[in-house]
Amino acid sequence: MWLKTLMKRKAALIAAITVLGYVTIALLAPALSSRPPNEVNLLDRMKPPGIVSGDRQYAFGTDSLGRDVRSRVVYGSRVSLGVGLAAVVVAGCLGISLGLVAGFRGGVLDNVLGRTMEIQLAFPTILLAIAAVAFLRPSMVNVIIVLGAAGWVTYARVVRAETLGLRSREFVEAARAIGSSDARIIFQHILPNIISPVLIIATFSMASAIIAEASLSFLGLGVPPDVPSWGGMLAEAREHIDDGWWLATAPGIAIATLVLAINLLGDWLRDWLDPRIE
Amino acid sequence: MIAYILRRLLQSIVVIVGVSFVTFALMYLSGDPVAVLAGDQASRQEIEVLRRELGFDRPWIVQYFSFLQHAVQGDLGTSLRYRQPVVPLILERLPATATLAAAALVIAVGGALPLGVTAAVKRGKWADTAAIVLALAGQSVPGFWLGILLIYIFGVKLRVLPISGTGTFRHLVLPAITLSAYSLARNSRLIRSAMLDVLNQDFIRTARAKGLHPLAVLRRHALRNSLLSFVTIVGLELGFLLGGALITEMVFAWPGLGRLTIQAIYGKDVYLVQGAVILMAIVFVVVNLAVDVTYSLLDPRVHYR
Repeated sequence: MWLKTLMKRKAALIAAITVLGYVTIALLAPALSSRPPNEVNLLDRMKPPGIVSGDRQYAFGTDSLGRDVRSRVVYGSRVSLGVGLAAVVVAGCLGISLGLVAGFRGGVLDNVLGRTMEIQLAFPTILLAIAAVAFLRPSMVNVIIVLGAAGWVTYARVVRAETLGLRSREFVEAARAIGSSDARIIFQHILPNIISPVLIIATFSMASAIIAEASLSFLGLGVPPDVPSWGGMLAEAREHIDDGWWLATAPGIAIATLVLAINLLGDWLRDWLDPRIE
Repeated sequence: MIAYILRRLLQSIVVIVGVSFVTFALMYLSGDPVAVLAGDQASRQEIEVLRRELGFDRPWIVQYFSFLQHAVQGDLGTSLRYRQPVVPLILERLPATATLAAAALVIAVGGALPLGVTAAVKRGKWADTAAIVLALAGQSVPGFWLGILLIYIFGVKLRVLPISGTGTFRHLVLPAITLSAYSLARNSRLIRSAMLDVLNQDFIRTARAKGLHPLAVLRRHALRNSLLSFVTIVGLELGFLLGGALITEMVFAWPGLGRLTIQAIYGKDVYLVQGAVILMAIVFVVVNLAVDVTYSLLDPRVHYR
């Protein structure tokens, strides 16, 4: 069923293949790069990409320290996908559990959560993330925590609303009538019914988490400088804009295609799982 | 109505206090500001003396309330780097950021309107597909990469526009386009779907049936009725533009609030960072309040709960 709709939408199919391609690249990074991403080779500084110059050794060129751009892009996929996925998981777990409890229990907790969500929604996420990372230390774990803490609201809001709607449905009341515990009702009856919207949100948040991580790393506030990341590479490229156009090309195309592919997948997921939404 | 505005005002104050609390807590957790203030050469004893002088030996909640007390009087502390109160430092940079954000808003809204309307009217035709593809691409390209591309094409290769700094209108072009790209793309999609909703309404069919010119239908009936979603969009936009300005200003060395903040972060100028975040929150909340009030004035159906 899902495969059929995927095949029917060419754009979504290409997007799925693209994402799978990036996952493969991230998993096989050591095999796909001829040199370690951080290996400095001052004799080979600022080599233009082999695709243009015919140089076999450096297909994507080298940077100002003679590091291989191809290896760095390949390893950078690990940061983007890893941080993106981890941030989505953190935000999802936090948002889903808070949303479930608030929607199911209501009362004071629901009120407090509602106010907190309003405050956080009223404020630009990236500013919060930048402020938080600024006071913490730049590290992969901190970036994940910050992006996770910035992203939970979307999940909580939708899960709370869905839970509120499901709570009074007949099948939940029937379950309660035969003596099911709250935990059983939540895990057996409510959770399976909110999987679709959660999956859709997760896909789109993955795309924005990847852009947010790249933005933070571009500003030097993301992953540490010794970890090759696409955002960090673009920051270095900004310094060599007049003598190294290729430095910005490869990581830029990498981010844009990955994010575009994930967004397209999200569009398809939404059409397939939830035809009500336009 | 007055009650509604008062209620929203109260909410805004809660938001700002909440933001100040979070930034204060983060700063408190981030390490010892006294050690930074005293410098590397200070002995432990000197640090302790300074700590007592500045009141950092008090419980942190007491420190927070004393901070709030000063903040209400317009004092957000002194910058460690500039050795000046942070509030005037920040206000000095505000016009540059406001100019950039306003220019981006004009592009994002002014460009999205014809794109979204055309896509909705020509639904399913090539113009619609082109607009959707453009919108998807615009939402997927990170702003800072777009900025670097624009600098390369227009600044380095064609040499027609300046690539950094401020002063003339020409300096504004590239940063404004960079900052607006994502919003332009998102707005086109939102306007397209808002227009599609309106175009399916009965009164549009009636207007068409009575033989009104298609352009008149569009102008007099469709556009006016999708105006409300338009105001909402502008409201949503501002937070995004403020956040995006942080990054755009770094790419183009634009001397605004964003660049000041990021440089303060690099320099561990904690009071300046804290002040900038809080002042941005205030700007953001005030503008949002204004948008909400406008919205309730435009649509008599909105209930002021």
